Amino acid sequence: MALPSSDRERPLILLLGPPNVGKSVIFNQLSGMDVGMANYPGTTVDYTEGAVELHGNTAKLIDVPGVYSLEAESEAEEVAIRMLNRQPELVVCVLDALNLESSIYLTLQILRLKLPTVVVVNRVDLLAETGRRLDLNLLQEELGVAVIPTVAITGSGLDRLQQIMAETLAPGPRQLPNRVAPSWAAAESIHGRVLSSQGPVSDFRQRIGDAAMRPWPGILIMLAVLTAVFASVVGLGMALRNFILLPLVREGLIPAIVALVQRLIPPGLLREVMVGEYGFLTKGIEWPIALVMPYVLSFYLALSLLEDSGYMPRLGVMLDGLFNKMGLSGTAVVPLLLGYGCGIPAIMSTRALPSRKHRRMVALMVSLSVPCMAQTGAFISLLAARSVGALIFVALLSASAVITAGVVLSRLLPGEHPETVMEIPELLLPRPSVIGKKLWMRSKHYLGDAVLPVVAGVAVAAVLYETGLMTQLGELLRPLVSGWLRLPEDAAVPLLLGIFRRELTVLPLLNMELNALQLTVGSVVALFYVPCVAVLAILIREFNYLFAGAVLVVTTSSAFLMGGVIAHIGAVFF
Amino acid sequence: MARQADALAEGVFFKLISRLVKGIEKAGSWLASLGLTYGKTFYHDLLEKEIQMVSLRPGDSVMHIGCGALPLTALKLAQKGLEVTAVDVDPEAVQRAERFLRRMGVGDAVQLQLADGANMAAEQFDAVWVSLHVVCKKEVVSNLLSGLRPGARLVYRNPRGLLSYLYPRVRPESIAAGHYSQTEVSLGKESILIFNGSKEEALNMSSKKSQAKHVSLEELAPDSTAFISATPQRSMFPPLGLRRGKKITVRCRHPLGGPLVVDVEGRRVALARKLARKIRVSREVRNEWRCRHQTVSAP
Repeated sequence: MALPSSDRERPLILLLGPPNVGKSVIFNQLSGMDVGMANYPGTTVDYTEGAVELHGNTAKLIDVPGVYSLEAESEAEEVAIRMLNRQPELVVCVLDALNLESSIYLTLQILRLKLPTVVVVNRVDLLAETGRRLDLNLLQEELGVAVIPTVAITGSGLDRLQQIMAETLAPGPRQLPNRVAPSWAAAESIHGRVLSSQGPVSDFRQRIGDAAMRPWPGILIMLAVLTAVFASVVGLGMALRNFILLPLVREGLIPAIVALVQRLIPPGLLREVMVGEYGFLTKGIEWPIALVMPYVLSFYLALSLLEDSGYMPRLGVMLDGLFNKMGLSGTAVVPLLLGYGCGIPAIMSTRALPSRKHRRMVALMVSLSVPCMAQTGAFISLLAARSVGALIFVALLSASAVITAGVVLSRLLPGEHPETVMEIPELLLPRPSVIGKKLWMRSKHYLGDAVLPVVAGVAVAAVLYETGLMTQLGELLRPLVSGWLRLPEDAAVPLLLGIFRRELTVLPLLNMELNALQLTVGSVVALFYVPCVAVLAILIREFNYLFAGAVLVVTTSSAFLMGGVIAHIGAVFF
Repeated sequence: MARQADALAEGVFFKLISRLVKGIEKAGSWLASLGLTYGKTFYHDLLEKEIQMVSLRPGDSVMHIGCGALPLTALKLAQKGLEVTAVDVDPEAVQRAERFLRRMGVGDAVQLQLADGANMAAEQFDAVWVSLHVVCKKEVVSNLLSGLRPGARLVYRNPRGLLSYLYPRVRPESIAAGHYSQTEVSLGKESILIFNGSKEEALNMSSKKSQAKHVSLEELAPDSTAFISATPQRSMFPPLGLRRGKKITVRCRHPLGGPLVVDVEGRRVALARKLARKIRVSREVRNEWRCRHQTVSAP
C-alpha cells in the first residue's frame, strides 16, 4: 500500500492517541468492513487505513500508531508527525480516562498544530470504578475543542462521536482552541482541575492488587493463579470435548456427512479422499472442531480473564527477576503467554518489546518451543489417555527448552539487556461482556484460520495415501524416520502436513500403532518442528527472510536432533 | 627555516600516527574483542585513576569530547552507572562508536552527538572529559571550563614521554589559575582534573556525599516518600509520571535481581533496579521544579 495519499476527493481523518487506549476498537467501530493494513515505507511501523461514513460523505480514516508524545524519538512518533504534516481535514485525539495526564500532554501538542480537532476520552467506565470523576465541561473549556466520553468496547458514545465529526468536517465557523503551550506542567495543571475524587475506592480490591504485586504473598498468588489456569484449561477443555463437542461431531455431524457422500459419490478415489482413512470431510472436520477447539476455547477464556482483570502485568513483575537471568524482561510474559494460544498474535505483540534483540529472542523462543493451543490440544488428545508421563515429560521439555533458548540467545545475539519499565494497572473484576466479545472474536478467528488449512492438509494427506504416494514418501524418508527416529514409515505424513498447521504433526499419530516411547519421540519432534506457514509469513513480515530462514533451520534441526537422541536413549531403557 | 621544516615534519609525522591510531580504533570498534584488549592495555589504569579523582555517583551526567570510533572512556563511565554524552566531530567515528556501544550493552546510557568540542556547552553536566587527541585542546578546555557549573569537574589528558612529540601539552595553571586541580599519571599520559571551585569545596564534596540530600531511588526505604530530582533520558518516563518534582514512594522490592515497584502519585510502575539507581530523589521539593503556566484565551 502506498503512502497516505493526498487525493483530496476524500477528506483525511487521523485517529491519534497513546498506545493501549482502545484506539483500534474505535477505529473498527467507525470504519466497518473495508479495512487494510499498511506499512509506512522505510519503517517497521504499520498503520490501518479504512473509510468512514459521515452524513452521507465518505472520508478516509487512518489509525495512526500509538504514541505518547510528538517528540520524534521513536519511529512511531516520526510517522505520526509526518502524517500530521499532511494537513488532515480532521484529527480525532483519543485520550485515556485512566491516564489522563499523559494523554493531555499529547493533546496539547496536537492542538498547537491548529488542525481541526475533536477529543475523545475513552474508558470512562473504568474511571468511575476507580472512584474518580471527570469534569468534561471544564476539560472542554480548557482545551477549547469538543470532548466526547466513550466506552469504545461497548460502543457507547460512538454515535455522538460520529455526529460531532461530521459537524466539524462541515464547512463553517470553527472553534479556536485555547493557546496553551504544551508542557508537562500545563498538562498536570489541567489534569488537576478536571479530575476529582468521588468516593472511596474499593479498599479490598486495592489490597489484593497490591498483594499480588509484592514478593510476598505475590508468589503464592502467582502459583495459585497459574495452577488454576492450567487446571481449568485442561479440565474445561476435556469436559467440553468429551461431553459436548466429540459426541456432537462423531455421532451427529460426521455420520451425516458420510451418509451424504456415500449417497452422492460412487466408490473410488474421490470418495476415499473425502470420507476414507484420511478423509478431509471426516478427519478434517473432527480434528479441528472436536479435538482442538475445546482447548482453544478454554485457553482463551483463561487468557481473557487474565488480561481483563489486570493480572498480567503483575505476573510479569513476579517473573521479571527470573526472566532477567534469561536476558528478557517481565514484559516478555505477554508474547510468551499469547504464544501458548497462537504464534501469530504472539509474534505481533513482540513489537511492544523494548529492543531489537529482545524481539528476536522472544520470536525465536515462541517459534521453537512454545506449542500453540491447537498443538497442545492435540498433545493432550494424543498422550493423556495413553501415557500421562509422556505428557508431563513433553511439558517440562517445552518449558526447559524455552529457558535454554533464552539463555543461549541472550549471549549470542548482540544488544543490551532490556531495562524493565512496566505500568501496573488497577486490578479489576473482569467484565462478562468484554470477555464474551473477546472469546467470540478469537473463536471466530480460530475457526476461520484453522478449519480450512486443516481440511486442505488432510486432503493432501488423503490424496497421498490413496494414490500410494505416501508409501513412496515413506521410502524416501525412511533413513530419517525409521532409522534415526525409530518411528513407523507412516510418520513421514505428519512431518509433511505439519507445515500447514502445527497440530497436523501430532494428530496423524493418533491412528498409528505407537508405543509410549514412540509417542514421546513423535511429540518431541512435533514440539520443536517448524512453525506453520501462517507464522512463517508473520516472521517474514515482522523481521525479514534471513531471520525466518534461521528460525526454520533452528527448529528443524532441534526437532530431529532431540527426537533422535530420545529415541536412541529410550531404546536402551525401554 | 629549520624550525619551519621541523614543524612540517612534525605535522606529517603527526598525521601519520593519528591515521594509524584511528585505524586501530576503527578495527577495535568493529572487532570488539580486539577493542577491549586494546582498552585493557592502554586505558584501564588511566580510567580507574580518573574515575577515582572525579568521584561521581550513578546517575550523574558526564560529557566526553573526542570519543572516537572506539569509545572506551564512554563505555567505562556508562558501565559505572553514569549517563554519558559522547561527542566527536567525525561522522564515521560517531556511527562506529554507536554501534560498538550497543554491542557492549550500554546503548541506552550513552547519547552520541556529532559536534565540534569547541562549541559544546558544559553547564548541564556534572563532569566533562576531554581526550588526548582533541585539536585546539587549550581553547576547548578553556571554553568548557567557563561554562561549568559550580562544583562540576573537568578532566583532560596530556601526553607524557614519547607521546609529547605528537600531542600538545596544556598546563592547568595556564587555563585554570585559582581552581583546584589534581594530576594523575599513567602509561604515556597524565590526567588532569580541574574542579570548578576552591580546594576546600573540593574536599568538602567528598565528605558531604554521606550526608547528601539526594539519594538514588534504589536506596529509598520502602513506604517512605521523596520527590524526584533527576531522571535519565527515557522516552517513556514522562508519560508514566516519572518527572522532576513528582512525589514517589517505593512500595516493594523483588528479590533475585527483580524490579522495584514504585508509586508515582497514584500510579504503580515496576522499574528495573539498574534504572532505579539512576533516578535521584530528595526529601524536599524545590520550587523551581514546580512551574506555573498561564492560559491565554482566544479572543
